[in-house]
Amino acid sequence: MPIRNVVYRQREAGQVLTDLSDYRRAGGYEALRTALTEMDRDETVYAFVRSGLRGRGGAGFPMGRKASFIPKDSVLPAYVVCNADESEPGTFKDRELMETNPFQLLEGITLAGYAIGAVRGYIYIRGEYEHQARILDAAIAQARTAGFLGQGVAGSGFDFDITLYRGAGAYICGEETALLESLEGKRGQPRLKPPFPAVAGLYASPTLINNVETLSALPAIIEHGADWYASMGTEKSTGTKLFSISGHVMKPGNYEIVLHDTTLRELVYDIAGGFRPGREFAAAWVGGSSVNVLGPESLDTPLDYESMAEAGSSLGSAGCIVMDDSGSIVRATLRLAQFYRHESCGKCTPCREGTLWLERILQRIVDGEGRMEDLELIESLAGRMVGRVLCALADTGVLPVTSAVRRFRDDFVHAIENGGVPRPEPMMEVPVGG
Amino acid sequence: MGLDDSLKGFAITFRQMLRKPETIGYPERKTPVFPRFRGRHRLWTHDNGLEKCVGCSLCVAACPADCIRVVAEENTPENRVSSGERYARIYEINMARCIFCGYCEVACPFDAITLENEYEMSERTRGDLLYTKDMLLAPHPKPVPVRSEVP
Amino acid sequence: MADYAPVDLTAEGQVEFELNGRRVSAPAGTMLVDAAYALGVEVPIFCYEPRLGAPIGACRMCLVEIEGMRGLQTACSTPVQPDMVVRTNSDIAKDGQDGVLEFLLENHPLDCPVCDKGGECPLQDRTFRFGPGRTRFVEAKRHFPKPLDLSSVIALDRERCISCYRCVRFSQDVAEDKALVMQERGAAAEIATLTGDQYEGRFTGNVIDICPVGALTSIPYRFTARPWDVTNTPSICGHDATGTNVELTLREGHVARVTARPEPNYAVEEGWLSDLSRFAYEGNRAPDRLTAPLIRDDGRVKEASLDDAVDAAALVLGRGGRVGILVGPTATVEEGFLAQELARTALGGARIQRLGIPGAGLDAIRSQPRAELGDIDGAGLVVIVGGDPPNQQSIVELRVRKARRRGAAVITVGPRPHALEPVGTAVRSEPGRLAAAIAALDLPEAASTIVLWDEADLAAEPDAAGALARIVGDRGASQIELGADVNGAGLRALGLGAGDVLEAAAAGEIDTLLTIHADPLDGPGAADWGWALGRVRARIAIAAYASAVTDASTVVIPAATHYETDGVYVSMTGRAQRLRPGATAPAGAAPGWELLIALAHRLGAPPPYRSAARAFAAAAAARPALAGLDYDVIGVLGAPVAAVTPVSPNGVNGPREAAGTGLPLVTTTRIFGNAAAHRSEALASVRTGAELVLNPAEGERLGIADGARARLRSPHGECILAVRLAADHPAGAAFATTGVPGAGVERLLPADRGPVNVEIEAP
Repeated sequence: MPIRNVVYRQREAGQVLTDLSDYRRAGGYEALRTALTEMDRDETVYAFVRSGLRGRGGAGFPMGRKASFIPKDSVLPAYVVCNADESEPGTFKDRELMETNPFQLLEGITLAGYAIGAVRGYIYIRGEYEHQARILDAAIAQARTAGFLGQGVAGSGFDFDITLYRGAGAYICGEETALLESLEGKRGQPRLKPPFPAVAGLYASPTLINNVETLSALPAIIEHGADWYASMGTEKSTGTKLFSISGHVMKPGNYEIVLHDTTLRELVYDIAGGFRPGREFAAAWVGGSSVNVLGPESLDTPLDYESMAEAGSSLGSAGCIVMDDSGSIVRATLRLAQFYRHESCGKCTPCREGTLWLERILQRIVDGEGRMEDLELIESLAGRMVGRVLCALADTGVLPVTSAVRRFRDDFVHAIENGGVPRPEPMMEVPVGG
Repeated sequence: MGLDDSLKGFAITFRQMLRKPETIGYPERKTPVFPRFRGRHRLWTHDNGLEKCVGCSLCVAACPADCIRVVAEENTPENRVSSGERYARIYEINMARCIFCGYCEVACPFDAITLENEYEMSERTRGDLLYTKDMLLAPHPKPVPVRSEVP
Repeated sequence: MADYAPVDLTAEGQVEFELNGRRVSAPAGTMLVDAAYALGVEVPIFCYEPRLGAPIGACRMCLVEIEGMRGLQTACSTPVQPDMVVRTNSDIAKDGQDGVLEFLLENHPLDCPVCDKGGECPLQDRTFRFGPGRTRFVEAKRHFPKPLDLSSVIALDRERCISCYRCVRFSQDVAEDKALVMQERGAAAEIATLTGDQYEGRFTGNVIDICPVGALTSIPYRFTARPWDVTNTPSICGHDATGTNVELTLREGHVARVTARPEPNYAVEEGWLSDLSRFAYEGNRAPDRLTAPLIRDDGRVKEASLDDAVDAAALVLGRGGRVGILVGPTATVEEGFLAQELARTALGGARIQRLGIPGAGLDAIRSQPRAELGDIDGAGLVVIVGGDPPNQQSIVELRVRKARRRGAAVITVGPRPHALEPVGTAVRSEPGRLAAAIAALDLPEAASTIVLWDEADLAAEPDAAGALARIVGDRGASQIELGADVNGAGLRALGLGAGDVLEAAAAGEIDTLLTIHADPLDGPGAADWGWALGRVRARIAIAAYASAVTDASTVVIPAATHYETDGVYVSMTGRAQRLRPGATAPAGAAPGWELLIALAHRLGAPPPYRSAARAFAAAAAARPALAGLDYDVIGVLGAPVAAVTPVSPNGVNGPREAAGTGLPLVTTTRIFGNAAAHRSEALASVRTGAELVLNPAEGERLGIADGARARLRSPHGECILAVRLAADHPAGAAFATTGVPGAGVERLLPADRGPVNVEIEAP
């Protein structure tokens, strides 16, 4: 079985680790102790660099390199910000981490804070994660009482504390600069880059922003060594990755697998249990919804960053949404377009107006009012959005639409020529916000 | 020059006397004009009685003779004059200056002003040539016969 | 709309790069849009507005192709780099501009014919120049109810809004009133006030100017004119001493609106106007405007022609006898000079003075190096002594806030609370004890210091002025006078002192009084003037508005207002700037300079000129402070007068100790509490009246409740005011609003605005 629970320590331990003593029994806070007593800051950053750990939020930028960008001579204090605004459709891996293994995240943030010389860490958690926020709050209190946060962390000379901040439920606040704006108490909208957060982030100070999973992987890297971590996977895709799999599969859920060791087919059929009897694989959005959709011809692609890119998509946040042949790709594409229209912050023109326009066109096609030239119009509009917007929302948000029109063109042509897409079974009705 | 030539001349004269006259007994009779003849302006209303003109002054901008004056005002629920947000409180054309180029008709985004076929606009004073909105909204008192497009 | 920041293509530190195949250079750090514009290449923009702070890159209109960079880049946020290769007209760059415009127009209603912005609309203009010409959007556009009243002067049309954030950034980052926000997100985003209330403030109208579409339009101007119906004239605001540059829009003889100039005067107002500057124009046709000359004969009043009125005035003045001339604070330099010439020639021996603060004790501070308002931006330390700039010289507030945002320390010292105090460190001085407060100041080190000082407050305390002058001198700082009078500096430059006409009239030594834009019965010392004027046999008034003085004058000659005349005003920073007529005076009125020249002709001393320009040239030739100036030198942006501002020898200092018993009176003013604001219908909903503000402890001591009325009595006069108790006002002083027409607080004051004490009691 390709499952390997490195980050999901709670699964390895076979119990929920929301109590500090349980977490410590499972080996928790050993890494922090090691780093604080045996490693200096540069060594810690270097360990992150050597581990090859890439950001698990979706962009996949090497975490160690990001940490090394933090200027050492800044007069302003440095911050670590944990992006716990897990909003990508089909992605729910961080939720389980925060729910069942919160101390590992706190330890990871503290390690990152030690490495870059930060004074404080912030966890920006999405507003809907109310239960998880309570668990994290309790965990922060426990860690503080036990001396793992506050003045002199774990008996060292390193002062560090963590503040939990709850968002108000906006997809855009998962974008790092919009998250920082929101964290500063402003309207959650992306900032113009450069400057990048590593130079001028939270309160214009050097800031390291990473995803929950990325930061939660740090204790294992320090504990078992960067080389051990890098030995898993390929040269550019090291370590293990949490996959959230959802959709028409029999066993949806979170699975931790070593990168590259598993193919999409194995993930869908072996790990997630395949489809209902008589149903075939139709399409998958492997990296959350903001990626190109893949058809059956890509089933044998190994799950790692390079192979997914080669297959014309990307690993993203590894929130794998799978459809069998019972649904309508056209309607699914409309639903995704609705999502991006609803979540566009409206700051830059191409995204604000483009996502609305794309949704309107797809709605017409679904309603049977589509025209053949609409398919070219979709391509043209998407082309006028990509690379011309302020942040990644529209840059990647058009991908599921354009890729569906390209890969499943026949479905769209069929919908246009045959009066739209019939209404699905009521069980598939999903309330649409906004 | 002999008698011969004189007779020729008289012959032409007599021939003409027998023909129908080319002149017309204006003003008892009026020459029909072509439908596209550009005569006196007319402002139009919608079927519901609201004025088509919204007082945008584009005709003023287009007018090469500078003979149109528009002063706009806002429609209110109590006083709704046009279908848009604004209407022309004052709409004046100084016919003494108008050159009947028809640019105002071309410029109008609402087909509110057209040049009709009437051409009888002589007045005894210049002041009477200042046509107000009420005058332009009303049909011309002296209609003109219109002939078919192809003579 | 300033749109692009000015670029000095000859500055040091040029960076060479390639623009549309041309080798060009611009100063390092210049944003690409600004550099390109200066080099003759227009990159279209909407959200970019350099005066609002750092670019935000929201509208994406300025997309350009830069070799070696992925996709298209926003030129508004990309500084020029050495050897960068930029194309603004390549196919891909054009597709970028085309695409953004197509997106912008997707939900933009094409109601240009009814939109007030039509014809002067950046979206319209740029669509013509850079846009696709047709849309592929076949769906229904977004609809909102419209228009909404964002305030009593600003209409909001949410359908037209393109979410450029300019208005929000102005409110948040420039005026810092924090009122405007963007609500909702995505295509549903809309502009609103945070509280849902009306957008009120001192600078709200600027959002109309900077809106690149017709989403925010002026309600007073609504549907008044289209751009081709009007002519625009650059002029001066004329309602305070800052010399704010404005543009007057003229339609059919009337001022149709006042806006910032398309090319702002960066040394003065930087293109931002106070709402008083912007909306006071409606008062130009107020009911109390004088439109026909009046001649009073044995108690009968009859309207006359201008010629007859000037004749009558000449007759009265020519009778001989002792003449006094009062020049009001809104008189132009030309009018002041012509009045002086009258006094020198035809009316030889006449006493002449300006109505204003004597200020002989201010010479020391006035002779320190002057700064322009624009210099405040770069100051390291801004010290504000006395006064209430947000209400009196409003535009100064935005400059000080900008300096603070750029890191300047701000220190305020003064007896009255005002809106700039929370911006920095506030030191409260006791009334009449500014000198002590200045001496106790602990000023931080700063590379450059600018001291702003209030003319009225320091004139009453010459030793404080002296102390401040020493601080300015010692620190190598520069100073800006917060002037009280619109053209006080201009009249001082002519050598017009605040003289002794009052004393002479009171002593019965004046037979005939000529007032020029002067209303002593509604200004400081109104009570004293009232008594003195009773002893004058004949009064002649040249004035724009009816007043107690014109009511009591033998001959009243209506004058043009500053909207209708040529002339020069000198701002409080010593900048001579031209008024240009942006409206036609009523048929029965004429510009003051014309009337004075006509009067001189009738009195047999014709001056050798018949135009305002020549009159000014004569003044410049005769007065050292104006040397070298003429209308051409002043030009569009103005020119400084010589630093020497001689004060007439008959100027007198205010008494150092306040007269009378009771609480020291601290006068305050409100931006919308003066005659100009009260005349304008547009400002009706924000105009304020007069009040007496007391600390609650004082109220209790005097037995006066909040909202009650109180009688104030000083050695000069008395008045009755509504009382407001406010804890932010210190005890030990009475704060009363001056400038409100008809309130009569001026009756409490001496004519030289010196300090007084007032007794307060329930009426």
